[in-house]
Amino acid sequence: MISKPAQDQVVALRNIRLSYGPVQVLDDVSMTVPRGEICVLAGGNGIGKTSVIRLLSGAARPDSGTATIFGLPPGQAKIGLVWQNTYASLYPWLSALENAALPLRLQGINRKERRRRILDMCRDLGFDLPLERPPYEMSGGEQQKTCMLRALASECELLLLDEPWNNVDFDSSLDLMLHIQEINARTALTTIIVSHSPEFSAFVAHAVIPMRTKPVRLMETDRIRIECPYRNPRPRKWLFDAQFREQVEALKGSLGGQQ
Amino acid sequence: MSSKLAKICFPLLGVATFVAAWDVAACLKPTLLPHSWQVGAAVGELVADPQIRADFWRTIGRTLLALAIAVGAGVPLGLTIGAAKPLNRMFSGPLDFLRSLPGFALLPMWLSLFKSGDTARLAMVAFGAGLLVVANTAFGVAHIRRERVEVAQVYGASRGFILLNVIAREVLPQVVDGMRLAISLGLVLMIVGEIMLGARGVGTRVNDTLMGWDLPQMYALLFMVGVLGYLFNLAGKAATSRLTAYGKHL
Repeated sequence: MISKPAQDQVVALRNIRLSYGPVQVLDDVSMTVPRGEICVLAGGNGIGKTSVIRLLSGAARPDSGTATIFGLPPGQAKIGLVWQNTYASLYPWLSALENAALPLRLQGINRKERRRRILDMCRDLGFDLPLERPPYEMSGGEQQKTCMLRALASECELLLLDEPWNNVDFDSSLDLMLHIQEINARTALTTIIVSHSPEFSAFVAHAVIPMRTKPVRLMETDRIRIECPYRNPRPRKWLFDAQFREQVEALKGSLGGQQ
Repeated sequence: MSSKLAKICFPLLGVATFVAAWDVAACLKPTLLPHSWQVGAAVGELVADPQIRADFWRTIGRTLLALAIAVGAGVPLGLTIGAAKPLNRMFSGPLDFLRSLPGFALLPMWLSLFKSGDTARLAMVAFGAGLLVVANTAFGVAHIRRERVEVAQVYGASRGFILLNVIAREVLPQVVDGMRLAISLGLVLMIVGEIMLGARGVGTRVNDTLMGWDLPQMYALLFMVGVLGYLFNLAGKAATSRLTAYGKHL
């Protein structure tokens, strides 16, 4: 018999129901993401993927059911979040550096130390960003990396990314996926990504949770393990592997043409 | 023509065209319209007159006092109306209705409420200018990006931090813009109030010159009021771009 991991080792939703006014979005959703995993929530537009992210970030409260992040309720867990609309989540009155350093500022760390830590992070991640500029003078990819920096600066235990490759070109998306995998390889940071792309999901994830019905119904067993012969960060050649294509097709099949 | 030269030449050409049209009209109706050089000479006399300068300061002082009341009451009210959706729905209609009313049309109401002419005039200007501040502030609050508040919440910001460093910064460009519009409107209403109710100031000066049929002086005063309004607007624009350069990029 396979033993279940302890509550403090998983991100778990149990029998969650969530509605916005008369519209029910989530109807009995249960899922588990073990610590250290990169998991993709896949499904069509408007199906309720972002609602799961909002639940986990504490921005939305369920009508019933429980959400725990390594044993803690969402409001108390250490979360880093990259929003779908990256520009709308950045403060245009602050420089990119001060945006990225927001979690450090909220921890009471002084300006000089904040600057040092963000520059160190940029060097470690290989991010070349115009940190003194405000977000509106940056490209979409640079804004996205600023949001990533901010999430990582919070020293989060769970990284949530809502459609992170929505507003950037393919190369920038691939670049971001490789960064996510590299961070995961180095720190085993648990990451939940929202996406409607089976290709990106199969490239980046350890497991995919497909959302098919509207309102969303999920059981804990509704997850697809991505079998990949490579360790993170996965090489680009994985994109051209026959096994990769097979898994993409399997994902497309399981999503039932919703992507 | 280089763009730098065009920047100087076209406005000057506009002024010259206006002055030329004025003088043509003055030739046609000399009893109603003095020539531009007569108005120019009257402006010179007025600027040198310490009594006139004192009257301008009185009007400016009253307008700024009314504006302070408008901002002091209008910003909290706008924040409240903008933040609560039911209140927003309740009051957006009445607000639009009141903004459509000419401010000075409410003067009889203020007179009946306050009896004193000075207070009624102050109330009329503060109310007219305040409506602009309320509407702009409420609009700013109602259109705050939800994500920016959530960012602060996710990273553990206190309510005070969110109010001062997120909501206030998001709303500030709208508030400053509302103040810029309010000060221009406030000046107009104050001068009308002075004309209608008396009390020493620019409005009564304009009225006196009209009663005495001293047209060069009257037009000179109107020109000076126009310059004052223009300077207020320029100062407002400078403040907007200095304090809230990010306002165009929200």
